[in-house]
Formats: sequence, structure tokens, C-alpha cells
Amino acid sequence: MTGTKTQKTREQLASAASSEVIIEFEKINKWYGDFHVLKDIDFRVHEGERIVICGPSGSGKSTLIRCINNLEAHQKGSIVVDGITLNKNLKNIDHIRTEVGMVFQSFNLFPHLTILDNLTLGPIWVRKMSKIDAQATAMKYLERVKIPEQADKFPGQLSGGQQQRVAIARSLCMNPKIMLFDEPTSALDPEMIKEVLDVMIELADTGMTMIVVTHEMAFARTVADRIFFMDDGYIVEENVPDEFFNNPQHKRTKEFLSQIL
Amino acid sequence: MAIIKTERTAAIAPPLSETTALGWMRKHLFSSVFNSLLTIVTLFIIYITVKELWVWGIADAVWVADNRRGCFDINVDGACWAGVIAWLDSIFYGRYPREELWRINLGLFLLVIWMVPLWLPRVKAKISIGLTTVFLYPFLAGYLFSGGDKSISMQIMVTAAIVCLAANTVHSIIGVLTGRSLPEFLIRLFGKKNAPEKSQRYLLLGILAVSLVAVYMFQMGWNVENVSWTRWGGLFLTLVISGIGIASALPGGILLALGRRSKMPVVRVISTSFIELFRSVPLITVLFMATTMFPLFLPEGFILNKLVQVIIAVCLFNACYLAEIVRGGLQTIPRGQFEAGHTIGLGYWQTISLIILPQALKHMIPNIVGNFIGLLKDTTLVSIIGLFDVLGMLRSISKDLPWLGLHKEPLVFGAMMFFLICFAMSKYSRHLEVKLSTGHKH
Repeated sequence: MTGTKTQKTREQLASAASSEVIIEFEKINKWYGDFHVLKDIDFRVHEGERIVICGPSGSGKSTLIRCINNLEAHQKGSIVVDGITLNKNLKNIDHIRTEVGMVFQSFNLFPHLTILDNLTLGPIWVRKMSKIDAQATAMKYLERVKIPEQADKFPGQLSGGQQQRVAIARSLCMNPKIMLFDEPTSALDPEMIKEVLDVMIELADTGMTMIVVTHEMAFARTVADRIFFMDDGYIVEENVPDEFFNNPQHKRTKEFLSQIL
Repeated sequence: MAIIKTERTAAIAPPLSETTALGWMRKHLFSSVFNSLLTIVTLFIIYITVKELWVWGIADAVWVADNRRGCFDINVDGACWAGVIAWLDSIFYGRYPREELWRINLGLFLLVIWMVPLWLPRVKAKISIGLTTVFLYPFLAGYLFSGGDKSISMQIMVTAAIVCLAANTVHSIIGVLTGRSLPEFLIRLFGKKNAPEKSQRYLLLGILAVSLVAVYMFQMGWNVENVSWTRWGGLFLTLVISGIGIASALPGGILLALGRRSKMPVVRVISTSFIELFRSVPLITVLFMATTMFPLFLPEGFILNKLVQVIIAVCLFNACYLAEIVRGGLQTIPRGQFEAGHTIGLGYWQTISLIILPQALKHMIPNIVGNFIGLLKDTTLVSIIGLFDVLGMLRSISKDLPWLGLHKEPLVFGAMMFFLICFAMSKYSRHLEVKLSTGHKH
């Protein structure tokens, strides 16, 4: 019984895998001091895929996602992003960071700059765009996240939901190939979660490769191509949403789902 | 049962005690018998002190007299300001030759001209104006103040400074009038608005080269008499030392602070020991070391004058203090700001200069300006090692034969001078804080 299920999952995975591999983790291990946070993490993400990572706190979800753009360095194993191997080479790291956008739980907008300047900073200094072009791009994305009228305000004057949408627009201005979301709605009031999730769903519809750490299970069910369930530093289950929610395989997954659903 | 609010109360004015002066006094000064008593006693103490000061310093004071005897003849109890007035030039300029004082005034005037654009709203490229103030103005001022024969490198720097000053000034005037920058204006003036970027650049470089050559020719014939540093003194010397100290301490402090937080062990250890070494020694010791021991380390025949040694010592000392202030500022910035900078692809120096430092320095403005004020006051220590700064000049009044024994008045005058300068600085820092605050924290 279990065997056939796994078989089916594999097939579905294979169909999603028609396009190119854009992120590849091979036997990734990481320690904080003596604490083993990531244990033999192994996975591939294809272009255009939407991955949701969930699991209890302290299971290593955030650490995993932060390894992709080297905000955290791994100690063993190899990570290849967009065909470039992540190692100590700073040029590689810089290149990967320009191709990978990231949205944080705490927004991390630059409080001393206006919204528009927040958005144009990267394009002007990293992509060497002219100021006028950068501003045009910024306004385009601000319109996409539906707050063009806030362009001249400072981050502190915006609500949490608006700030998070600005943060998404800021990443998009760099025209990244991959977007990482590290619990983007966890710091928001319930009323504001929806406006951020809506922007993320729209983004998913454009075919962006997305990796999302979140506790929003409804979002995971509708948007994700695959769900990774992490516990204690392992990816204990990797499945398509239907199977994941209706027919979880691993004991820990079942426990977790029974707690939150 | 559900309670539903259906009516809205309109906002009404606050009670009178919150808005009128009388209400304020009643609430804050006379709220109880004990508070009223305290208020009255305090007012009485203020009255006595101020009255004594007024009588001594203004009502009974002597403003015009030939010497101290003359002061006493007019009024024994009042202040003898005549002595301070007679020495005013010396207090401001030290023993600088009287017929050359215009050079100091011109130098200060040029500094004002150079820096005024920084406060004009429509002027662009303020950062480069600020940078040239720090890196080019000192050469121009240095030559103006000390004069003598110019070495080739000095000639080049003076030329660059003059061209830059002229460009800054024209640029600012154009900026105020039209909101454009100087390059834009020149390109339009020569009708190259639609020309390709390359020819525009050649045009600008050509103008720059022509003006550099022209100014170089001019300055070759421009010579001012040499004034030895031993004749510099008074407030002028104090401002030179503290001005250079202030201008160099901030960049130095930033580099040391970053060094101390560096991931490279060598850089970190060197910065940390440098900071700790200078911070654990009093300034006066550093000054003595600089003037007596520092020359021992220099190669033979290489002689720095005492003033340069003192300036170097003041700069290093204050850079170390500022380093700790800047480090404190850096620690107020959450790690997420670095990470956000990195994720949009900014490198280390870009993240530091575009994101981290603007915020960190803004948080630290009160401390930084506090340090600058301290620096200004600390420079009076150089009078101990034999430079005649403003304190040195003030104290030599009492040794001048006509004014023998006149201690109090010069020092009171000095205190007022320092108060004015320092108070202005602290007011300006407050203004900066308000202006730069974006109101809300992240």
C-alpha cells in the first residue's frame, strides 16, 4: 500500500520536474556550535516550482531557506543555485544574491529611506540602472503590490501588511529568478495576512520560482507544487499538497497536521 | 447582552489648565504649599546670583581705560573689560602679524562660502561638496595661513582647491536659480544637450583642464609672506586644531569601529588595541608623548613641527573615542538590515555606507556632537605644552604689564566664548536630529 503511494508521488514529482533544476541541495549539514540544525538535507527545485516548507519551530526551516542565499553558511555538502556552486567565493555569493530575492518575517525595510528609495537602491547600485529607469521599475512593482500612492512615505508610516508588500516589491525590482519567503505573514495582524498572501498568489501565477516557509496551510494547499515537512533538522516528508494533507505518510507529519488542522 | 455604541462624541477642547500660561504655572509651579515654597526660594536664589553678576559685569564694569590702574580709578568693584578689549585681537588671532590678519579672515570666509551650499535645498551633489571641504579646503587654507614658498605638490593642491571652490560656488548659484547642476548647465550653455554622452564628457573635461591650467598660471604669481606656526595662536589656533580634529575624527572613528567589528582577526586585533590604548591614556599624556617621544620614532632629519604633532595626536585620540561611539551606533542596527542589504545584492561597503551608517550615525548624533564639543574644549590643553591657543592668550593678559593681575575678566570672557560656540553646536545637533528623524522606528 505505502509502496504504491510513494510510486504515485514520485510520478507526480517527475511531471513537475520537466523544466530545469534551479536549486540543488546535496547532503547539506549545518551546525550552530554543537547543535546539529540541518541533517543530510537533499532536494532539488525546478524552475517555476512553488515549494512550501513547514514544520514545528526549531526544526530548521528558516536556516534551510537562508542557506540558499548564504545568509547562513553550510558546513558540509554542496548547494548549487542557478548553475553556480555556493562556496567561499564571494563573487559567486554576490551573483547568487542578485538572482535570489528574499522576504523576511520582520520586513527589514530601510527605515531611513522613502519607499521609492528602498526599491531603487538595489537596481541603481547593483544593477547599475539609471535613476529614472529604476524609479519607473519601482513604480511598476508598487502598482503590482497595489500601493503606488505610498511611494514617498517612510516605512515607519506604513502598516505591517503594506510594509511586507513593499518588501516583496523591493525584491522583485532586482528581477530575481527565485524568491524566498521566510515566514512572511507571521508578524502580521490577521487582517493584513490576506493582502500579503494575495500578492504572493499573484506572484505565483506569473511562474516565479518560490520557496516559502509558512504556517499558512490554506496557502500551502492552493499554491504549492510540493510541500516539505521538516522536523528536528530533517526533511521528514516531501509530498504534493493533496497527498500531504489527505494522506500524510510519516508519523510526525500526521501528528503535526492533527495539531494544526 | 450586546452593547453597541451608536453615537459619536465630537472632539472637545482640552481643559484650560492645559493651554493657558496661568494654568501651566498653577499645575507645575504652585501645585501644593511645599511646591510653592520651593518655587519662591528658587526664584530668590536666582535673583541674588544674577543681580551680583549684573552689578559686577555690567552695571559697575569699566569699558574704557588705559590700564588696570585706570580701571580701579573709575570703579574698584566692577569688572575691568577694558583689558579684554585691548587684547581682543590677540585673543582671536594670537601673535599673528597684525597686517596679515586679512588672510585668516579670508580663510574663514572661504570656508563659509565653501560650506553654505550644503544648507541650500536646491543644490545637488552635496556629498561631493562635503568631501571637497574636507579634502581640498585644508590645502588652500593651509597655504593662506602659513604662506611662504609653495612646493610643486602644494601648488597643484592649491590649484585644485581654487578650481573646486569656484566650481562649487557657480554650481550652487546655478542650483539655487535653476535647480540644475553645473555640468548640466555647461552642456546646455554649449548647446550639446542632445550630443552623445562621450562628447559631453569631453566638453566637461576640456573645461576642467582649461580652468586648472589657468588657475595654475595665476597661482604661480600669487605669493603670501611666510608666517611661522609659532605666531599662530588665540581662538584661531583653537579652531584650526579642533577643526582638523573634528573633520578627521569622524572618518577615522568609522574605520576603527568597522575594523573592531571586522571578521578578519588581524584587522580586529589591531583596531581594538589601538582604540583601547588611546582611550586608556589622558589626552595631556598623549600630547606630551606626541611632542617629546614621537620625534624619536621618525627617521633622522625628518622634523615635524610641534603644531603638526599636536594635531596628529588630537586626531588619533578623538578618532578612538568616536570609534566607540560609532560602534555603539552600529550595534543599534538590527541584523536584518545587513541581511536585507545583502539580499538585494549590495556588497559589504555598499551595505555599510548606504544602509547601516546613515542609520547608526543618525542615532548617535547627540553623542558625536557631544564628543566634538569635548574636543573643542580639550584643545585648550595645548596651552600646557606651550602653544598659545585661546586659553594661553587669555592667561597671558594677566602677565602683560598694563594689565598685570587681570585674571578674572579674560577667563569669564573665554567662558562666554566657549559657551556660545558649544551651545550653537549643541543646538545645531538638536536641529539635525529633528530634521533627519523619519519619525517612526522600523
